[in-house]
Amino acid sequence: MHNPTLQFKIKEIVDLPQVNGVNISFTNSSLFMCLGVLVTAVFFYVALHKKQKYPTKLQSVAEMVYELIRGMMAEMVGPSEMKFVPFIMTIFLFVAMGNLLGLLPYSFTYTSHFAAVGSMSVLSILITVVAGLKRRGLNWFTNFFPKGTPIALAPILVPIEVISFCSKPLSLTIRLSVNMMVGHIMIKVIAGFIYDLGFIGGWIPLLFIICLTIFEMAIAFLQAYVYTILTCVYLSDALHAH
Amino acid sequence: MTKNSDSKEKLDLDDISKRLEKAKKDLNIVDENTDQRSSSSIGRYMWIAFNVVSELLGGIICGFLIGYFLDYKFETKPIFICIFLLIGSIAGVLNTIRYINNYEKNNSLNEKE
Repeated sequence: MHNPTLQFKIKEIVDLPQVNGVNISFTNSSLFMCLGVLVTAVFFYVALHKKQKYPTKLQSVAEMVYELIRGMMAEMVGPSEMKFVPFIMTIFLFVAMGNLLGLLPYSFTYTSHFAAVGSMSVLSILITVVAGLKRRGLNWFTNFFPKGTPIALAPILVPIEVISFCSKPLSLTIRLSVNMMVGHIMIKVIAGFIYDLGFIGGWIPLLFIICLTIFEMAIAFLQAYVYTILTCVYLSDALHAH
Repeated sequence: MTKNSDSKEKLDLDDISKRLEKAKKDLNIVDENTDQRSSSSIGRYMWIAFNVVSELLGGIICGFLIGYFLDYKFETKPIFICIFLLIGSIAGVLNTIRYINNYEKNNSLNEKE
């Protein structure tokens, strides 16, 4: 049986020279990130280039995704913060595409890598911080020490709140990457059972793998949704005082 | 006349459903809806457990990394790791409590709706 973790190995597709000791080669991870962006762009172009009053199936799906994100933003952040919809929608589509493309055979799940998801999480949190600082100015720092708290508690409370804030991108990353990794490893291991049990016994794991793949598709959407919702929560925390 | 017969019929139906529920309770028959709810709640609790673990781990790992970095900078291993691991653990627990509070608040709001 193949090693189930080999599917997460990053392979260089186009070797490029190092820049300041950093390998900037085009890898399978980069390829699937580009594919994710391309598939999303083509889908939205095809779905929306001829907008109709009575929407086609594709147009309905595209509008549904937009309405989902818009509704989520209105509920979590506030109806007056619609300028953040493109940012939140980009995150949702990028994560959802990564999760879904990873389910195709011989593909690569970029959302299962700590580096990819981690940098996206850090970027999301930084954007919320910048938005918060721009809106509330130095008042944003009251998130770490709420008004009315006794000053004597500051040496204990502030480090705890700072670490609690710094752990946000980490918990976002762990949640998404580990979920994706576990799902793919399970599929690979059970696929190995089909080969081992042969023609007679292999049907049981095959049926199981079909159910698991359907389950993983649901998880792919759910994870993207949760990731987006949490980003909205962090954005709301940054923009509004507690 | 029709009104009277309608209300009588309704009373009969209510009485029957009450007696049915009592009989089910006596016989320990579990309602299909309740069974479905319990199976979906297992998934929901697993989901909560996973989120709680990631919140906890996030705090602990973050504390460890900050402590490790400071120890590496000032060559004081393992003082900062110990201090920040402790603070990170508290932050993790705090995040978990916040998550659970938020979850319960949303849950009670949904139930009210």
